[in-house]
Amino acid sequence: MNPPQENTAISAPGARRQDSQAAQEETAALFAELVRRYTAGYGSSVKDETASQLLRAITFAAKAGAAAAGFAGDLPGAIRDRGVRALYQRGIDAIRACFDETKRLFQDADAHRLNVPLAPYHDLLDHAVPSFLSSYDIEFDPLDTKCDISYPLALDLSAAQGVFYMRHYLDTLRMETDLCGRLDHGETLRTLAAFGAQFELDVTDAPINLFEILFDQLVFAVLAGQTAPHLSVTPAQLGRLEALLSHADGEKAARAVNGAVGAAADMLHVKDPALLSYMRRYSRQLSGRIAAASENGSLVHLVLVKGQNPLAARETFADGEPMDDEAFTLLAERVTACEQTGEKIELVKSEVHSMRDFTDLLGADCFWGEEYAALFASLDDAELAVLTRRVFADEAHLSRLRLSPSLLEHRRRSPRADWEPYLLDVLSGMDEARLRRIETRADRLSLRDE
Amino acid sequence: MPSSREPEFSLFLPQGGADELLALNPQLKAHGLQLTQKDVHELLAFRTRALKNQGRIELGTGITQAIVKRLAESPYAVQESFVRTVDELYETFHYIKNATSDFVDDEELLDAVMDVYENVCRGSAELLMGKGAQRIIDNFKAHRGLSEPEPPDEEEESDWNDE
Repeated sequence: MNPPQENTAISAPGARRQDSQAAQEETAALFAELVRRYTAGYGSSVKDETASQLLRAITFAAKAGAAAAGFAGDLPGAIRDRGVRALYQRGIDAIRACFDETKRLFQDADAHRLNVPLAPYHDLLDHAVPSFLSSYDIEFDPLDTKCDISYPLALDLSAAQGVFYMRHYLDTLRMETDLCGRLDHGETLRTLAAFGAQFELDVTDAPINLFEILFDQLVFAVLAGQTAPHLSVTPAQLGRLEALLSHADGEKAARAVNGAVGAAADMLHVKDPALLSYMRRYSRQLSGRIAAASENGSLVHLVLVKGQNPLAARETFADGEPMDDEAFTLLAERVTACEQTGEKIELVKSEVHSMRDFTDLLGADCFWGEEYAALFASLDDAELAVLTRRVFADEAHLSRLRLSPSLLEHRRRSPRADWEPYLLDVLSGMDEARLRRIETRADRLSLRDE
Repeated sequence: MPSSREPEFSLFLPQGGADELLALNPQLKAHGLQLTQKDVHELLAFRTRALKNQGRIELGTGITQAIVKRLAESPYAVQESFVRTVDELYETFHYIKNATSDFVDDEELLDAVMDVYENVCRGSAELLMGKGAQRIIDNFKAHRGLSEPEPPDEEEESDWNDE
C-alpha cells in the first residue's frame, strides 16, 4: 500500500455538486467528533493550529484509507466511491496496522542490533525510535514523526510521512543490518577504523551509514579480484582496480559494479529479494561516485588498502604561536607604513611566525593589489602548500586535492578573500612540476583547526 | 497566522445558530430581556470576529447560548447593554481558553467567568477582561479552583500570623 504523501484538505474537485457537498458535511461531522474526543468531551472549541492539525489528521487518514481501498493518489475518486467517513475509518485501521508493524520492526532491529561503535546507530535504537513509538498519536497527530534520527540510511528516497515513513526507515534498516551482519565482525571494525582515519572522522560519533561504508569496500574487494567477502584490498589489488576503473564513464562503472554486486550477493548467500533490490538500487549511486572519482583521479581515496595506514602519509602542520593583539596591531601598522613592497615582505618574513597571524595580516589591509602577488611569489613550496591547503580545505577534506585549472579558475571567480585571486595567479603561473609538488604536499597536510 | 496550505474551516463548518439563539427568548422574557433578529445577527457577527481574533475554532454556538442564558439570570443584566455584555463575556471566555488549555471544561470555565463577573467584578465586563481573567488564569496555573480568591501572599500571611 502506498502511504499518503501530500497534505491538502479534503475536497473533491470535479465531483458532482451533491458529492462534494456530502463530502464536506461528512468531513465537518468527523472534524466535530475529533474535536470532542480531543478535548475529552469537555470543550467545544480549539485553537486554530489544533484545528488545522486535526483536519490534517483526517486528510492523512482518508488518504491512507483511499490507498488501502485501491485508490492510491485518487482521493476525490475514493471519496465519490466510498465516502469520507468510510475512508477515514479504513485509514485509521491502516495506520494502526502500520504502527503495529513498525513496533515489530523495531523489536527486530533491537534484537539484531550490530555490535559496532556508532553512537547515532545506538541512539536510534535506544532513544529515537522508542520515543517515537511512545508518543505517536494515531488519531490526533498521525503525520508527526516526533523523534530525532541522526543515523542516516544509505538510500532514503521515501517521501512518506508519519508512521509510514518510520516503517519504511526501519524496514530499510532491517535490510542494511542483514547485509552488514553477514560480514566478518573483526573486519567490520577494522574497516570502520580505517574509514575514520582515511577521512579524518571520529566515526563513533559521526552521522555515517555503516552499510554504505561496508558495501562500498565489499564491492571494491570483489572488483579487485577477491573471491571471498572481504572489506579491503592489497596494494597490488588496488593497482588492478585502478586499471579496471581508470577512465570509467558512468556506463562502464555501472557494468563493473553490477557484476561485483551479483558476485558479492552470491558470496554472502543473500536470497532476500528486497535486500537484493536494495543492493542494486544503492549500487547505481556507487557507480556514479566511482565514475566521478575516476574522472578526477581520486579513486584511490575511496578504497581502503590492507595494511596501509592512511594517516602515515599525512603530515601534520603545527602552527607557531600567534602574537598577542597588541603586537599584531603594531606589526600591521609597521607593514602598512612601509613604502616599498620588498620592505613589507621582509618585515613579514622576519616577524610573522604563525599561519594564523599571516592570514590575519593578509586580511588587514596591509597589502594592496600586486603587493599580494609579490608576497606569494616569495613564499617557498612548504609555505605555499599550507596556504593552499587552507584555501582549499573543503575540497581537500572531501577527496584528494587536485589543483586543476578548472578548480583554480572556479575559485578565482568566487574568492572568499580579496587576496585569494593573487595566490591563485601565482599557482597558475608556476611550472607544472612545482604545482604538483605543492598539490601533493597540500593534500597530505593535516591542519589542526580544519 | 494560518498558512495558505491550511484548510479554510469556514468553508465546511456548519453556519447558522440564529434560530437557536432566538429560541431562548421565552427564557429571557422571564427576566425582562429579549433578543431581536438584529441582536442575534450582531452576536453572531461578533462571535465570528472574536474567534478570528483569538485564533480559535468553535463547534456551533453553544457557548454563546450558554452565556446568554447565564447572563439573563445575573442581577447585572440589563436590556440596554445585554448584547454588548454577552459579546464581552464571550471574548473573555475564549481569551482565557487560549491562555489556559483546550482541555478546560467549558462548563467549569463559564461557571468561573460568571462567578468572578458577578462576585468580584460586580458586573464590570471591563474588570473581568483584566483582573478577573488573570485571576482565573493564575488559578488554573496554580491548580486551584478557577474562581477561588487569590491566596494572601507570604508576607501578608506572616504579618497576619504575627498579630
